[in-house]
Amino acid sequence: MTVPLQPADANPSAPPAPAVELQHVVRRFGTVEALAGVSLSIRRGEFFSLLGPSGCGKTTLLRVIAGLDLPDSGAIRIGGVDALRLPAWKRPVNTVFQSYALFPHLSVSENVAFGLRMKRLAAHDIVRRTAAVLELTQLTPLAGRHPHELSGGQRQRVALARAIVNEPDVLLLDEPLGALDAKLRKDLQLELRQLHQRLGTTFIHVTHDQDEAMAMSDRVAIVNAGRVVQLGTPDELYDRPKTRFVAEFIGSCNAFEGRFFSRSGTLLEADTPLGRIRIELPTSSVELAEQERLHIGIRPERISLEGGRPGDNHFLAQVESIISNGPESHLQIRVGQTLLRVVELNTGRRSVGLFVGDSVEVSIPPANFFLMES
Amino acid sequence: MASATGPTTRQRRRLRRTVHFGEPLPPGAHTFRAAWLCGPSVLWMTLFLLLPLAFVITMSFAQRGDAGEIEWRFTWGNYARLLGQGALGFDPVQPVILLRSLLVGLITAVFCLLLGLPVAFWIAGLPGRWKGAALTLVVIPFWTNLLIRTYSWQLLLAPGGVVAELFTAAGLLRAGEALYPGWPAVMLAMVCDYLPFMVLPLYASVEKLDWSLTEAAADLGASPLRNFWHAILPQIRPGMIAGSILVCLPATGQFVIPDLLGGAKVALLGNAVQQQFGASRDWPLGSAIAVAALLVMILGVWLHTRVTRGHKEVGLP
Repeated sequence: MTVPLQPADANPSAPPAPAVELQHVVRRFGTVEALAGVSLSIRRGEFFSLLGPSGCGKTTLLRVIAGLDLPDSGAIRIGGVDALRLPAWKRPVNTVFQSYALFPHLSVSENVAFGLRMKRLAAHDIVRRTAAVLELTQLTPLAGRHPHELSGGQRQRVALARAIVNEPDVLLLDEPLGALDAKLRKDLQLELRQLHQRLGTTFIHVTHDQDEAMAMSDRVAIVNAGRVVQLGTPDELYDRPKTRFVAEFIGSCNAFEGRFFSRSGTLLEADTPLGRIRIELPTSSVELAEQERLHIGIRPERISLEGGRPGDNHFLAQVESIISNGPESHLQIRVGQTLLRVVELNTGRRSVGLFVGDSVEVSIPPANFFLMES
Repeated sequence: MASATGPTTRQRRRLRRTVHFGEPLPPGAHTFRAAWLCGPSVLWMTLFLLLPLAFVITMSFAQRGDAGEIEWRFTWGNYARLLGQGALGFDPVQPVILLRSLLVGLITAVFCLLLGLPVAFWIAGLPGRWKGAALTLVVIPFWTNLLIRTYSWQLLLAPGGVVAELFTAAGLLRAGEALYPGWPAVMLAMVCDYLPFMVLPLYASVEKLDWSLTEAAADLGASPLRNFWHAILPQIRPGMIAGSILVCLPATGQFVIPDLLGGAKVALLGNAVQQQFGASRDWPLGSAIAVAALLVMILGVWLHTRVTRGHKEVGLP
């Protein structure tokens, strides 16, 4: 072995260095800031997703980590080592490209063996490890084929196998399932997740599909316009979105404004177009001024059309429209002048027999509301 | 105008006059159309290429009469002379010319490849509107006749010429000496003459390069040199082969350049053929040389395709 480059490992009592650490990374293309100062710390062994609309900079971020693109400023450390001093081919990361970028002149097994050959491993090691990964990704029967003889899903597997055979410290996945049809995506989501648990490698996964990010990730960073807007577990992001962008990017959201009225502990009262409502905050540390403007959100499925409990907010509403897709009903209801979207599971009890124009009693528990910045 | 009753008579007549492609035709009509479209070129090639070639092949088995006339008596003698059979045992003149020509063709191709690769990459990397200009510059030499270009080299390389003066100033050449006739002058002119034939197909390949493969190779740990070897070369191989063939074949048969810049010592196939059909008045031997050259080139192309097609990485299924 060469000089130990990882100070964190040298001292076992110190916490291990994050798998990847970004400090204020900026990347400009002309006048556009693709990355406008991104700071992130990705833990070892976690399945981390970068989620955002197309053009938000998430792929640029991945390329900067891989070394395929260089930031204009900022610092990147991979496993505690300054990565900016390393060219792409020396970084301990491997990428699954969105276009797969398989070598067309090489067979499946030659594609998979490529990284090992570049490392100049002994021939028998190359053959053994290639065979093992082909087995793991169920590609053994296709080993002799060339990329143009494979289906999209099979190519995706080859791209994945070609990356993981190198046992990288960090695996980068750039919309790995983007080019596949919905059914195949679901299957491969599950497989990727299982693979992650099996390998224990850090996965950094770029996607614009919120369902995919939510289903697969330990933590998700929502990226917009070159910035990380919010970082958290899928549940945190869903239950407590910080901004309206996040709230609407992940799932759907009824948003309205209100004014702060009073507060006792974590329970606050606000005047809104729905009337005076009670909102339960997760902590009491939020500072609020008299009459401060509040941005309030509520998820459509957290509005109940059934009785509710005593402490809930109660409203009388008119049904404006009902669309059922089988398992659930999507309703629009009017409370005063405000339209709210409601989603109800069709459990066969309530929504049946509800018609446009009916009056319903609506209840919303105070903890179901959330406050957003601006 | 389409109506419920279908096209009018006039429309139908116009449709019949228009040449349509992809419309359903009975098999006979296809053959007929192919025949009258391709016929002229087939006729042309038959009259002016295939028949003369057959004539040349036939003549290569004939004999030279004492006065230089052709005697139609079958013999392998011309080919035997090509392989070195002389009146007094082994005579290396013809085999040496054959090998020397092949070598010159190969060396020219290698030089053109080495010089052409950077040019092709450079042009492919230019912004759109400059590419056209750069490609025009590559082709501009063709606007001047080869003879004129070759005579120009004589002027430049002659004693007192610009290039000769430069060499003299650099101390590489004694004053009053010329850079020609000789091998360096021949190779210089050959590479200059054939470089565009290499650059154009190379450029076409480089232009189509899938750069995501070089990113993938780098990501998988390929150093820049190995990246070029493993991710770029396989992609531009077709252009390299096409360019090499386009350079090697005509360079092997080139006779103007060796004639004007090489002097008597550097006769190539083309010069030998010219010699036999001209001064020596031995048309059967000239024909045999021409046929041999053709065979050697066909063999070369065939070998190349065999070698590249069979290319396989070792050790893996």
